[in-house]
Formats: sequence, structure tokens, C-alpha cells
Amino acid sequence: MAVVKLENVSKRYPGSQELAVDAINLEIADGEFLVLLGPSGCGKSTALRMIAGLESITRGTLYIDGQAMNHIPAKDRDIAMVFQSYALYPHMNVANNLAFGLRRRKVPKDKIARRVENVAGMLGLTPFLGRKPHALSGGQRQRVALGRAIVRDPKVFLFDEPLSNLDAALRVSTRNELVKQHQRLGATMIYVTHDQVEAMTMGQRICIINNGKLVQVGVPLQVYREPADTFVAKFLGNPPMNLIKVRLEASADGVAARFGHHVLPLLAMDVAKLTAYINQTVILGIRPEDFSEIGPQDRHQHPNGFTARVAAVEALGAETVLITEIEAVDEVVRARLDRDSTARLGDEICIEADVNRVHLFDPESSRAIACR
Amino acid sequence: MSLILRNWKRALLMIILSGYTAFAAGPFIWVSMMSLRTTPEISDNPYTFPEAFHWEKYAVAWSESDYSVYFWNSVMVTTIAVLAVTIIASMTAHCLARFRFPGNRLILFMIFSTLIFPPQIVMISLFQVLVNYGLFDTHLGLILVYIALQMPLTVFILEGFFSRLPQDLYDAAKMDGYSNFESYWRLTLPIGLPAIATTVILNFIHIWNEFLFAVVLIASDEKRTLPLGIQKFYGDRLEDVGMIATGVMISVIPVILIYIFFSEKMIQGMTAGAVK
Repeated sequence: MAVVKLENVSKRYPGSQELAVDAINLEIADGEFLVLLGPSGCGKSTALRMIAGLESITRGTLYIDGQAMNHIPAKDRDIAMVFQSYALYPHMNVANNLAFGLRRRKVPKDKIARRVENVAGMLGLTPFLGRKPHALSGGQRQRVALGRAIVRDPKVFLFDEPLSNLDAALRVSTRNELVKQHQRLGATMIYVTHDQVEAMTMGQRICIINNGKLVQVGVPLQVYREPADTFVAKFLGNPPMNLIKVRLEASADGVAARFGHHVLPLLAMDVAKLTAYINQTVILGIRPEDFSEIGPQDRHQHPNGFTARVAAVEALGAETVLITEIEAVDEVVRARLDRDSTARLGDEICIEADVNRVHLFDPESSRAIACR
Repeated sequence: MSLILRNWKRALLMIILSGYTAFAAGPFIWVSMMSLRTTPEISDNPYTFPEAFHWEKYAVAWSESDYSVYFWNSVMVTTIAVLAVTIIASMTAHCLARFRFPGNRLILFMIFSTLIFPPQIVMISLFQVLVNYGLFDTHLGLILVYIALQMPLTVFILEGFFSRLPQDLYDAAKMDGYSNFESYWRLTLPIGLPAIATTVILNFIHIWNEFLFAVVLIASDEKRTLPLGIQKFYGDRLEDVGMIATGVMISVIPVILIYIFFSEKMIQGMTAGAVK
């Protein structure tokens, strides 16, 4: 078990002008399960590979248990990695795949046999020890890849999108299996994914990376509820948060957001923190689930409701997502409503946002405005 | 109706395949028949089955016509050359496929571009070089020439295969503590076996049958390889066709054995299951 610390860690590939990873500062606690989340090409895998020792660090320092690791070769960092492609040695059977790393470390033969047996038993691989990877299913290969990491008993486990090759059902069960293994082993684990569901369900903390920069770190629900900028707001959540350009105005109750002829009173906001933005354009963020549909007979009781024309209906069974067009809003607005919603394509409905849960973002920096 | 059509299609396919097989195998069968017949018998009727099988011709060719010497010369030259080409070319291909360094593609292009030139072009200069270094009329000289000649195509084939092996395998080996050489030895060689087997077969057949360089660079009778040995039966006024056929059959047998041994590896999908 180990504490992993990245201090201003950057990576620039030869021949490239831009930094693939830009001055990341991050500390992963002993025994923590941290998820690096971001879109494809954001630098999260590069960051992981630098921790592994598979990529050199251009600037900054990587520490494991307080010891600088920049110039320590991968094999001496006591780290195990599970790859997206599993990277099982195709010419070796499962037992040899599990034992390969231990043999190199000159672990005595009887000890190797015992550890392979234990890990195989733990992951349900005992019946397949004699099989080669091509004779295994996707899920079994995934477990062998995990077993190969576990059998080494490393300080840190790294996972590079290990579930992306599995089908949906297997992904859910393997996700649970990984969480279970983390609880059992209590080891420090760093997990890279672009899948927000994996991040939300597995990570004790999520670290969101965009364009090589660390955007936000926090426990999953905190990051979801308090996104640091519009990127996180859009990236986390499905459907993503609606971002609407509004004008902040002072009102009798405090501040209000105006778009078109709609005025949304922002009662929960601290007016004092918003004085710089009064009569300015800001970005209003509303999560789709923070909308509710108002029946025609109740409209007069909801003065903050506004009319939306239904452009598409996604009836998902457990819920219905309406994609709507609202006057004076450039982009479509998504509303996640009750599964019993009867809205049809082309209908004009009335929806209301929960003003206590809306977010405000600075239009220039895209950063969240502290307003509560 | 469709069943009849399908049967016709199948019949047509069988006819074409049989025709091609006869075309390809016909000369081989003809030579194998001639190898068991004497030259007067062949002169009487070249296209017939042997009336009596003269198996003793093989023994005569082997012992009395020095075929044993030529055969073992060929075995030695071919084995060493193929082994050296395989090791050097696979290491080169591994480096070119795995490591990013400036000029990587240029080196590959330069190696491959030597294939453009017909080997005869280098014959005179090569002859001179071998004479200068005291390698003319030596097996070592011939082996070095064969290694140089077979290297480009071998590197090209192996690099193409090795570069398709997933990088993750090598990263995993690196994390497991294996050095670059160990990765080559424990991963590239065993996983790349289908491609290596292909080059071994190609190189073996080519070097085993090679005549032009051998006839120019080898002068002594006792250093001849099999293709030169067979030539001995071409006299000025007489061609011992029967013995030539026997010699050809002796020279073909190792090629067939090599093919049987390596062809299985060649068609094995070793990387199946490596990824996904």
C-alpha cells in the first residue's frame, strides 16, 4: 500500500508543441480508489503511464511513499497495471500468464505455485489455468489480467480502461468485482476511464482531466453537484447539464436570471457574491433532472415555469427524457421527467426548473461562480 | 434448381482445382518417376511409369556421385545462413517495430530498397570483395552472401508482422520486469512464430536451390552445394537425365520436410486472444 503524489507533473511528447499532461498536482491516499476521468485524448492515460514508468516525466516529480520515482524504472516501482487490451501473453496458458512476472522476480517456485493457486481461486480461474487466452471469454481474460496484477501483490494498482472491451452486462458485474477486490486488498488503486458511470460507481474520489489539465478532484457526488466549470458540468451526467446564456438582474428578492422574456428568480443565491455580475451575461446550468413538468391546469401556480416545444422524446422506461426548444435559448434543453410523461413530439409543454439547484458559470473563464 | 446450380458450381471449381493441381504437381511427379528409371529407359519413352523401380539409383547418386558431400555442404550452408538471417533479421525487425527513434522509417526504407536491384548487379563487386578478404571458394563467404541477400525481405516481412503486435504486451512485460532483450526473446519470437516460420521456409527454399552465387563463388568440387552437384551430370555430349532426376529428388526431400515442419506454425493464429 502506498501514497502516490504528483507534483507539477507534465508530459510533452517529442515533436509536439502542446503538453499532453499539464502541471498536474494530485495526491492519492494510501488504500484509496481514485478514478481519472476525462474524454479521449485528454491525457489521463498518459498520466497513468507516467505513474507506471512507461512514459518519462517531462517536468515535475512523482512520489510514491515520499520517494521520487522519476528515474526509477517501471519494474522497480512495485506497481501492477491492467491494460485496456488485457495484454495477456497469447502463447502462455493462464497459469504461466499469472506466474510470468513472479518468475522474473526470482520468487521461489513453490511460492509462485501457491500464489497463482490462491489468486486463481479468488477470481474463479482455477478451471482455466491450463487454457490459453484465445480459449477464454472476454470476462475470463479480464479476470486473468486482474489476477496477473493481484498475484504480484504490488503497492499500487493501475487500471487503464479495463472494462471498455466488455459488453454492457459483463461490465456491470466486473465493476462490482473490482470494487470488491479493492475492499479485500485495501491497496491504492488508480483507475482511468472515460465512462462517467464507472467513475461515479467505483471511485472514492474522481479526478477530472481535460486538455491535459486537472480540472476538479472530489468525491463523486460532490463533483456532480458542484462542478468546477462548464466542462465538468457537461461531461458528468447523462443527459448532460443544460447551459443557458442568461442576463443577471437585480430584483426585489435578490437576483434573477433573464433569457428572452423568461425571468428566473435565483432565491438561493447570495446577492453579495454576485454584484460583479449584475447586468452581465453569465451561464446558467440546470441539470435535466432538476426540471419538472407542470400540468396545464397548474400553470398559474408556477409563475417560474416556461413554455418548451418538444423536439424529441426519449422514453427510456424508467424515465422519459424530453429534448425541448425554448424561446431565446440557442441550444436544445434536456429535461428528465417522470416515466409517465405523456408529452409527444411537437407538443408545447410547461416545465419548471428547481431554482435551488441551478448553477452559475463565468462566461469567459467557464469557472463556476461561488454564489451560495 | 438452386441445388443443381450449386452442384454445377462445385463441379466447375473441382475441375479448375484439379487442372491446377495437375499443372503444378505434374512436372514433380514426372521427375520423381524418372528418378526411379535409368537414362536408356527414359530415352525409349520419357512419359511412362517405371517398369522396374531402380531404388539403387539413390544409393549410387548418394555414394558414388558425391551427392552425400554436396548434400551435407548444402545442409551446412543453408542451416547456418537461415539461422543467422532469422536471428539478425528478427532482432532488426523487433527494434524497428518497437522503438521510436529518428530515422526509424528511413532505415527500414533503405533496407527494403535494396530489393529493387537484381542480385546479379552486385555479382562482380561481391566476387572481388570475397577474393580480397580470402573468402572466395569458402563456405563462410557463401554463407555471408546468402545472409546479406536474404536480409531485406526477411526484415520487411517480420517488421510488418511485429509492428502489429499490441504495444500493451510489451508494456506489460516491462512492468513485469523484463528487459528489451527478454521481451524480444520471450514475446516477439514465440508470438511472431507464424511470420518467422514463413521467412524460414522462404529463405530455406531460396538458399537451398540457389545456383547463381554458388557457381560463381565456389570453385572446388568438394565445396559444391547440391544445385552445383546436379550440374555435374550435364556433360558436353551426354546428359545423364536419370541421375539428374535422382539428384533433383534428393535435393527436394529436405525442402518438403522443412515445409511440413513449419507450415503448421505458419498457419497458426498465434495472436488470437492476445487482445480483446
